[in-house]
Amino acid sequence: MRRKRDPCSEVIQKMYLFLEEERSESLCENLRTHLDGCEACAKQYKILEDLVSLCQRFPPEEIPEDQKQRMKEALLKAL
Amino acid sequence: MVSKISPGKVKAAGRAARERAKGSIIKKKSFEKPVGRDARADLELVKRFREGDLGAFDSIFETYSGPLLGFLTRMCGDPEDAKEGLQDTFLSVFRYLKDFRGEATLKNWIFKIAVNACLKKKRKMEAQPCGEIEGIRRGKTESEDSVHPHLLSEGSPEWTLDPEKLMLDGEFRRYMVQGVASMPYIYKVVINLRDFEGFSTQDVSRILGIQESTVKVRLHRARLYLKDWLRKRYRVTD
Repeated sequence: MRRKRDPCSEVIQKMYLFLEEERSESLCENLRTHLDGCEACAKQYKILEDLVSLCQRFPPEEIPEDQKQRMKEALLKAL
Repeated sequence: MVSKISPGKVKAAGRAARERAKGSIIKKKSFEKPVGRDARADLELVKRFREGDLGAFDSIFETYSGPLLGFLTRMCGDPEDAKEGLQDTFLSVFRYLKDFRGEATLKNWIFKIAVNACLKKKRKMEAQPCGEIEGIRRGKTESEDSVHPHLLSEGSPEWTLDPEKLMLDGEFRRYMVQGVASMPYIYKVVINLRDFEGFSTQDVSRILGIQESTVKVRLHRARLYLKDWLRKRYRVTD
C-alpha cells in the first residue's frame, strides 16, 4: 500500500523545479503557499538557492604558465 | 596540418595570447565562466587548427584548460590525477578534432571527451562505487526523495552564504572540491557540469546520454549531499 507523504517531503522533492525555474503556475502557488507557512522548508529552499549560486561562482583552476607550456609542448610532441 | 606546429612556436603564441588578454575586459582572475563559442566560430577555429594554425591550438588550450582542470579536479579529488586527466583529454581533443562536425558546440564536445576520460579512469581504478548517495536514497526509486526537510535543518545554523567572500577562501574551495569528489560518480558528474560549469540541463543530458528527468533528480540529490557536506564543517551566518 502506498503511504501518503507529508507536505514537507513533497515540497523538498519539488524544490529543484523551483531552482530550475521550471515552475508551472499551479506548482508555484502550491509551493509558495507551503514555503510561506513553513519556516523549515523556506530555510531549506534558501540554503539550496545559495548553494547553487556558490557553485556557479566557483572559479576555474589556475594553471601556472610554466606548467601550461610544458603541457602544450608534450601535446604537440604526442600529436 | 597539426604537424606544422612546433613546440618552439608555442611560447611565442602563448606570449601573444597573454598580450591580447591584457586588453580584454575579462581579466584572468575573473570568476566569469568562459562563454561558449557559437557553432560558426567553433567550425572556423577547427578549420584553422586543421590548417596548422598555431593560434587555433593555443586558443582552444587557453579557453578550456582552466575549466577542464576544475572539472577534473572535482571529479578526481586529486590534483595530480586531474592534471593527468587534462593531458589525456587534450590529447584526445586534438587527435579527434578533425572529426568534429559542429553538431554539438565545441565546449560540449570537449567536455564529453573529459567525461569519457573520467569514466575510463574510474573503470580502471574501480575506486568509486557507482552507487547511490547514502542517507539520501534508502529503498526508494530514483524519482523519489526520502529526505525530510525538518530533519535536515535540525540543529543547523542560520545559513546565509556570501558567495563572493567564500570563493576567496582557498580552504573553503578545497573543502567544496572534496565534497563533490566524494560523491558517487553519477551524481558528481551531473552537479559538476550543471552547477559548476554552467551547462544547461539539456546539454548535460546530451553529454551524458541520459534523460533530462534523470539529470534533474540526480542534480537535486547532489545538491542536498553537498549542502550537508558543507554543513559538517562550516557555520555561515549573517
